[in-house]
Amino acid sequence: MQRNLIIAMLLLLLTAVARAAAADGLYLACHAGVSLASADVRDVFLGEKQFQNTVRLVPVDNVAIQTAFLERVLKMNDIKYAVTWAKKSFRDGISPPPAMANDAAVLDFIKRTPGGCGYLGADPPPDVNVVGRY
Amino acid sequence: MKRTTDKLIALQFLAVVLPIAAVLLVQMAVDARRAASLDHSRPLRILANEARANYKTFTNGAADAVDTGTLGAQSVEALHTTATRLSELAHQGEAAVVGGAEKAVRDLASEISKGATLNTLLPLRSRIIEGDVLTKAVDDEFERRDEFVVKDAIASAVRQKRAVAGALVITAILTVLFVLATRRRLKARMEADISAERERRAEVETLSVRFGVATRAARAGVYELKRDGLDVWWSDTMHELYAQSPQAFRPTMESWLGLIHPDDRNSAKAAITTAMCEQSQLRSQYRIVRPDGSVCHIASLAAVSTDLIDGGPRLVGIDLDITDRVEADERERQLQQQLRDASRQAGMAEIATNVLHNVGNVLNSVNISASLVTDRIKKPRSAGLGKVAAMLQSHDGDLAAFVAKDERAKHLPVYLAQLAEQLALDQEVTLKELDSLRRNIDHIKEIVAMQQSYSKLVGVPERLVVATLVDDALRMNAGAFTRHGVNFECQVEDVPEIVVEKHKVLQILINLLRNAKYACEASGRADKRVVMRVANRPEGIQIAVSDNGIGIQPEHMTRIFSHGFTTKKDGHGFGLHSGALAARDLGGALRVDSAGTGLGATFTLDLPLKSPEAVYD
Repeated sequence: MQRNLIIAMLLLLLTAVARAAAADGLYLACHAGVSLASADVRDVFLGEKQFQNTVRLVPVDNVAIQTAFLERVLKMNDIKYAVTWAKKSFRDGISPPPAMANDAAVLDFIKRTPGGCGYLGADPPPDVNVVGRY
Repeated sequence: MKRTTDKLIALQFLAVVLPIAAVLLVQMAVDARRAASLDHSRPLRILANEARANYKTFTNGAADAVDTGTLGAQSVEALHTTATRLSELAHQGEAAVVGGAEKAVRDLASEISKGATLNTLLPLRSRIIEGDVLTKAVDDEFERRDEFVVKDAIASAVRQKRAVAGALVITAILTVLFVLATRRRLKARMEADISAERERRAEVETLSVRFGVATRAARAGVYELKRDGLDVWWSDTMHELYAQSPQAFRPTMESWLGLIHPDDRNSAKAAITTAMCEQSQLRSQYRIVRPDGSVCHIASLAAVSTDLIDGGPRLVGIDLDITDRVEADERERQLQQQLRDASRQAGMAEIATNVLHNVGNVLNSVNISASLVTDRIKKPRSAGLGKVAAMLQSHDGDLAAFVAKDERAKHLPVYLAQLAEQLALDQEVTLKELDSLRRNIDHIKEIVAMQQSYSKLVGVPERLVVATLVDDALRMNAGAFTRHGVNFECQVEDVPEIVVEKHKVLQILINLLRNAKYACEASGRADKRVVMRVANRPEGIQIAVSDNGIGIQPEHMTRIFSHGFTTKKDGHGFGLHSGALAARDLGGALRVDSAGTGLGATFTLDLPLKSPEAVYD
């Protein structure tokens, strides 16, 4: 019981940190060489746009700042996002973006994956392409 | 020409048809292959498409379940249908393509039943997505295949179009080439034909010139009659032959016949009419009378052919001036007649000589008999008898005393007896000589009678027994043979009677026997021998006279029957010549064989059973 309480408190702490970070800054970064228009970001993360030119886009969620990203960029909450992706995955047979724990994981994924796109709470390094700031 | 053109047209036709036919055949084969491919791929695609569509129905239903919370029965049914379609695909030999899709969907279907909720579906989301991917992959594969087949069909159709276009181009090119080749060949052929036509014309012209020269040289006129004599054409030489001007004289059947001698006109017209009616050859001879009154002998030779224009009979022929030949024939006939007359006279002379010779032989005997009789008569035994009578008459008064006393009277009985004996002998001799004289005179009469009998039968063929004829000839020479010591032998087969002029055969045989006798005599040999053989031959009879005399030198063999050729000192070279002519007149032949000088000779007379004169009897 105590253990669960500690975990819950940690989660609340992390959420608070994330919200703080989100409140501070939100960056959309892509693998080097991938250019993405701001208007396409929603479609990419809702599975409507899967290719940029010939490059298959692979979006990833950043759990740490997902709520902020959904609210600011996709203009929806977590439930709506999950329902949308449930329908999308049933209807179109595609999976929702994989969830990364934090910026570092997201950043690592973006760098390793051609077409990788993700949102970061911190200022991205120069070896990724920043396509939006929120 | 036409044949070549037909070949070229046929080649052109083939050049057009063959490429198109080849293309059509290839197209048919390709169409068949294409249809087979479509027949195979299209049902598979439909199955895959149905599987995919049903799966999408299911996923849509699942998506709707997000809102409704429950999966509809239709979606569940669609999921099962998907599994069924995939199973059908696998059973149609496409298990490799269907792969794990069938199992994934079937497993999914086994877990999702009617009335499933969202909570049931959400845990299966990854498997539903996997199924979506797999069914999409299957659908894509069969769609790709089908599209490949369709694309291949389209590409094939394009290739076919290209092939047809190519074939058309090839056909067009071949047609152009063939047209050019045809034109060139036709041109060459036409040039060759023109050249050949020129050569033919030149040849015809040459032949025409030669024909003209030949007809002029031969004095031959050429004519042509058509339409039963209504159309008559004459060559220039024909006008010249009839001495008629081509400008003034228009040849018609009537005007032509008008130029023919009246005595020959009907026969000439009949010959032409017969030839035209019977489509036969015409060979006639007639005389024509020229404007100057001279008579010319014409030989007309013609043949009937079919007219190329109207198809009627056409008589084309030539008239030859044979006046010189007719006159020459007449002269030859007269000469032959003269020769025959001379031969006949010579034969008659020979026979006469023979007769005279035989008569002369008999006359010798007659003379001898007459001399003996004369001698007997000149020496009469009656003189002594007269003296006896005178002596007895002188003693008529004392005859008894005279007989008793006179010494002469004592010898009278003996004398009278001897005288009587002598008179009887003289009578006997005289009677014998007179009998011989009578017989010789009879022989002469017979010879003369025989000559007379031959003379009156001259020129008349008669049926004769050959043996009799041979006997007559031998009888006429028997005396000479006996006188010169020549042995004679006759071998006569049983031959049929022949119908010939007797005197001609006899003349030949007498000549042959006399020559044989002469040859034997000239040889000087003791065993002089002449053999006459009469034998049957298929074409008549054969009479051969052989001797063992002096023979004939080989260089004389070819001249032996020539007029004037003789080896006798007193010969005149006419006997064998006339004999050969007579044999020919009789329809036979006279020939000679001799092994050479001193080896004798054989003359053979071949005679038909009927002489030419007798055939017409």
